[in-house]
Amino acid sequence: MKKIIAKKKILFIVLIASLITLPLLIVECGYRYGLHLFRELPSVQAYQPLPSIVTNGIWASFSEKAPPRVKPLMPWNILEDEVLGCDSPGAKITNYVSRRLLEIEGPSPRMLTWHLQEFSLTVWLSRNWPTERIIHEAGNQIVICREASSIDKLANKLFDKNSDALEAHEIALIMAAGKGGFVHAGESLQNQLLKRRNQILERMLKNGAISEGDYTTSRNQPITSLQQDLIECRN
Amino acid sequence: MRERKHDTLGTSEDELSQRRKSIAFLLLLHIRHCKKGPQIRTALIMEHSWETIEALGFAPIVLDEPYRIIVQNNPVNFIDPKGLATTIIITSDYGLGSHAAVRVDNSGDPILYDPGGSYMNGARGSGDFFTGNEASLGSYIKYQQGTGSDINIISFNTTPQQESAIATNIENATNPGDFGCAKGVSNVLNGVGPFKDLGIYNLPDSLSNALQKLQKALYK
Repeated sequence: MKKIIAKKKILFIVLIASLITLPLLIVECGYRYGLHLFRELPSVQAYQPLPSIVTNGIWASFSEKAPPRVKPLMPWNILEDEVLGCDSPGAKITNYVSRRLLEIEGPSPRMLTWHLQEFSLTVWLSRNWPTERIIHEAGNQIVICREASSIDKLANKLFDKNSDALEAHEIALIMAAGKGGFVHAGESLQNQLLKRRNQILERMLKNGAISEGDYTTSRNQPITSLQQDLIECRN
Repeated sequence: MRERKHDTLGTSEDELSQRRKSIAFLLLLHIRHCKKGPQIRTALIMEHSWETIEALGFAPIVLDEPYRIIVQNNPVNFIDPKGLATTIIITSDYGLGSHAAVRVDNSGDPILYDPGGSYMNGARGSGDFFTGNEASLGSYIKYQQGTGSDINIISFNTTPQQESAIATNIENATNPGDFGCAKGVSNVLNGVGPFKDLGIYNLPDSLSNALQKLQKALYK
């Protein structure tokens, strides 16, 4: 009788252990399969470090919390994020970079494969690329009017200066414009741009990247009509 | 050989004839849908010729479920004549829900939200949404079909105010992250008009099921 109870106990423990490990195993397999689909994984190429204010502006535009540091992800972090609603630091910006890199891979596969590859690359990048490189890459892929440009190029175009000299409201405007199209119903482009820019500034303030005084000054900076013209897409 | 006539815009007679047939098909569908209830005003133009559509006997349209249109063949345009609809697009691969997106007419200023998607690859903004001509539902469906996915379209009647609220939610949304498409879509819909009790879903299939239930409850 005791032997039967002991056997049942062992079976119960095995069952519980399987229930816990099976989802983790599936996620791990999915991650490995997703990586296997890449011809070549992106290597860390040499890059020019960005100034602190630019780094913080890019980081804040993805609603990431301070400090700018990407947490190396494990495949099962996706379960945490999805099921428990946890926000792994840096997961959003890394996901954005992984999608931009995935585009270089060629024609898009089915959406299931696309999401799997996107997830695998996000995890891989968070573990293999330094935070600065991820932020740098996000700053190299700012899309305005369906054209991807770097921070340097946009700093020149919109403010006639180098990215090293950008101020908080300027980097915030660049990142705001890179969000995408504008929904004009009932609101001017200027108002929409200001709203987006000021949301990023607010996040920078929360992150401690700018002081209260800088925030107030930056918020009051106007957006010129020339800048609006350069940002507005006519499709 | 048959002589091809062109109008002042350079449209050939054959093309004009095709368009007239498409419009006739659209109207016919509209009438057939309206028999099921006054709320329905969705229609579908097929890429096939009129004869093919006749031969199909409207097979792609599930008339028992007038509010849900299953796109199995080659639709290139999904037209909402009154411009007052919120359309959710769910794709599936190998029988599994694989992606979710939403489009709102927004009083003629349409917005298409494709969180974590691959539409217009290479030139997507960080906001994952498209406006103006880029928010064309026809182009979006055609793109998704090109990847080999099956597509379900679920459409709801929404007022201009509700559509504007959804558009604002899309504008304020942040990147939902990996496998976050269904979460992103349900986030922007939840709490607005017919979606006031929708809730948040992590999987496209769960979102699709919830929306179909909602349709049945709303338009029974």
